[in-house]
Amino acid sequence: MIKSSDVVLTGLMIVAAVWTFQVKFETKISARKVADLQKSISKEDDRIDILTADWAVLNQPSNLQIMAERFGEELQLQPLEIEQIATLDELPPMKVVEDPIGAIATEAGEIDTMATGSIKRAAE
Amino acid sequence: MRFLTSIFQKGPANSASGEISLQGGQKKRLEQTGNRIVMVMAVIGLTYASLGGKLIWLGMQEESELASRRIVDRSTSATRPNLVDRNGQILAMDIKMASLYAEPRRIVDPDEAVELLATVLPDLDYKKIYKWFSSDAAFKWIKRELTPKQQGDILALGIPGIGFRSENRRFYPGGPTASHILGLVNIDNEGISGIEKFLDDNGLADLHKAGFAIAQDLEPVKLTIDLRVQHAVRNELEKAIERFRAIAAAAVVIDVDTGEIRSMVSLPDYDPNNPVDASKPDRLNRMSAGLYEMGSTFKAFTTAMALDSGKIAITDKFDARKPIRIGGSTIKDYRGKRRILSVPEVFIYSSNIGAAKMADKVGIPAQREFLTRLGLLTRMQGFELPEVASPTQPKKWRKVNSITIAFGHGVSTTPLQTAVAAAALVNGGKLVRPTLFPRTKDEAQKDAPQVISKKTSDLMRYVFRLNSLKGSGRKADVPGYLLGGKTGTAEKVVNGRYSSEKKFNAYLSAFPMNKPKYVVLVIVDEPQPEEGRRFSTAGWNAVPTLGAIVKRVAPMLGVKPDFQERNTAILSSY
Repeated sequence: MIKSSDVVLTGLMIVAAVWTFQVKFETKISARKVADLQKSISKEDDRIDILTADWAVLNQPSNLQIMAERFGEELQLQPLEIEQIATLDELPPMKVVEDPIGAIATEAGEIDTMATGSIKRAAE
Repeated sequence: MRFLTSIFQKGPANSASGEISLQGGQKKRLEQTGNRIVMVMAVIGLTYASLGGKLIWLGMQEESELASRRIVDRSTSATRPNLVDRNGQILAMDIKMASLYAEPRRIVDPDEAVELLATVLPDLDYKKIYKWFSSDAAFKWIKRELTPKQQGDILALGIPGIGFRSENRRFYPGGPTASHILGLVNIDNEGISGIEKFLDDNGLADLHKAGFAIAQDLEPVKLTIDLRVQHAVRNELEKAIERFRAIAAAAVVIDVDTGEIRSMVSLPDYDPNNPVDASKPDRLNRMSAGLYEMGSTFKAFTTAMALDSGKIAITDKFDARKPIRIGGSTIKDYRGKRRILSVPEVFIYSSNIGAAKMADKVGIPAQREFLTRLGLLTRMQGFELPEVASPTQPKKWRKVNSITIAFGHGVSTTPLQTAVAAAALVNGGKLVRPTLFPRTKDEAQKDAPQVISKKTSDLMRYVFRLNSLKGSGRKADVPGYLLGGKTGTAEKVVNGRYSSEKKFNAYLSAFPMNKPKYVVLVIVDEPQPEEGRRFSTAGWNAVPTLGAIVKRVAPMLGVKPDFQERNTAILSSY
């Protein structure tokens, strides 16, 4: 004497059981994945530590000084002089040259005496 | 709830009335079965509901609570926080190193294993290792602390019966650069000296015991030192030792307002990565653990005392023409002026006679009280490094003691204390406790006692600067940084007598003198005259060394050079 409600309930039970097992299985897979990831993270962390240590050694002022002394000539490096430290308003005003080409010519002493129409005549 | 109670009520009621209601038996049984099914479903439903609830609860959990449930593995007991300088540069860190071990019982073919291992680690003693591998031992260390590359190569060989264990090892990228500040750890990664020990004494050891020191959770510990400054100072001191053939040299740079130590170097030092030399007696931290008679640098304190007592004005004059004879000894001046000197002149010509007369006028109890107030005669309190020496002073201060102490003989103190007291002379009179951990000016000055008046501090800045312009500090005048200071050349005691050969030289200085930011103290132990020179007094070694240091580190310390013309005529009118 099987009622329709029994069939429905049995079906539900089977579905629930299958679903439970599936969740359990997926959890197991995820847990393994998490463990794997954690392992590789800690491995990666250790490698980062080693690289950080490496960088700290290479970036050591004592190391940089040796490098600067060895390659200073080629790279044209020089120690900072205190006189080179200044703020913007301590700098002397820049010389503004209005007629750069004319200034070069004046300096070289090569003034063309010939006056053309484009040049105003000097007041005589 | 009512549903459940009705089930339980129905059970016993049923069995009791079973015989009476026979004709309704079939119907009753059906009813009963139906109820049982409902009950079972309710239980299953509740179980699932609680599982679902738990899932939701797990999802809502904060990450940190989950993290604390992490399993603590064995290596965590040795985890230490990174130490970084004020700019975040690493001074000390943990790195995981793999160590190689073998389980000879499980080794299948010792010949092959040895042959393969030799391709990666050629410099092992393979006769011994072959013996191990052929034996029946359970466990043998083959090599501690392999590089990651070696580890990878050995793994690639695929030898059965060998394995790795990772161990934390403390690594100091700077080598000896800040050795005395950082200190050392032992094989179990526990601090045994310096800041490392301080950390253990202040909570880290307890964390380890509780198993809570997990690498990711430990914040790096920031120190006040600046690695660049530390290196520059050490480099200049190295040069000084070579140039003046000294047995030792040391220096400290302190922020006068906050007491933060920007750099502290003591040479000779050791490499904390390989601390074989660390316990040799000459490797002590001379700055905080060395006791010295500071010599003439003490005249700065004598002068400050004289001016602060109110008994002596800066315009007062002292007769330095004749040596003082007391208790069988004679107090003379080194290359004395043999005339009447004003207070600033006593200071810049470093007149022993003048200093003695100043102390005499102030009086012995006041002198002793003043030096104690500046913290020069008692053990430094509250400093982080465990290596701190206790100053010594005479049991009973007689007049002769008072006179010699006025120019820095007869009491021994640490150079660090001297520098800290000097900071109080120039920063407006506050005695700020030195520290290796960052703090602000307000924090530092909150509990700092006022040891001299602001006016005395101003006068001290003036005499310090004057000494740099006209006195023994001339060789350190770095243009732009308004350096000022006081030299000291002390004769060391050899076999109970002062030796004129062995000197202890110091230059105590501060800059910029118009508003001091840093105190720098350099000491040079037993310097010889430089090649081709005759003198080995402080002005010839400690002073130029300090000048070179300031020239290099002042820009890093953020002190702006000042090339303004100043009227030095006013300065010298006293």
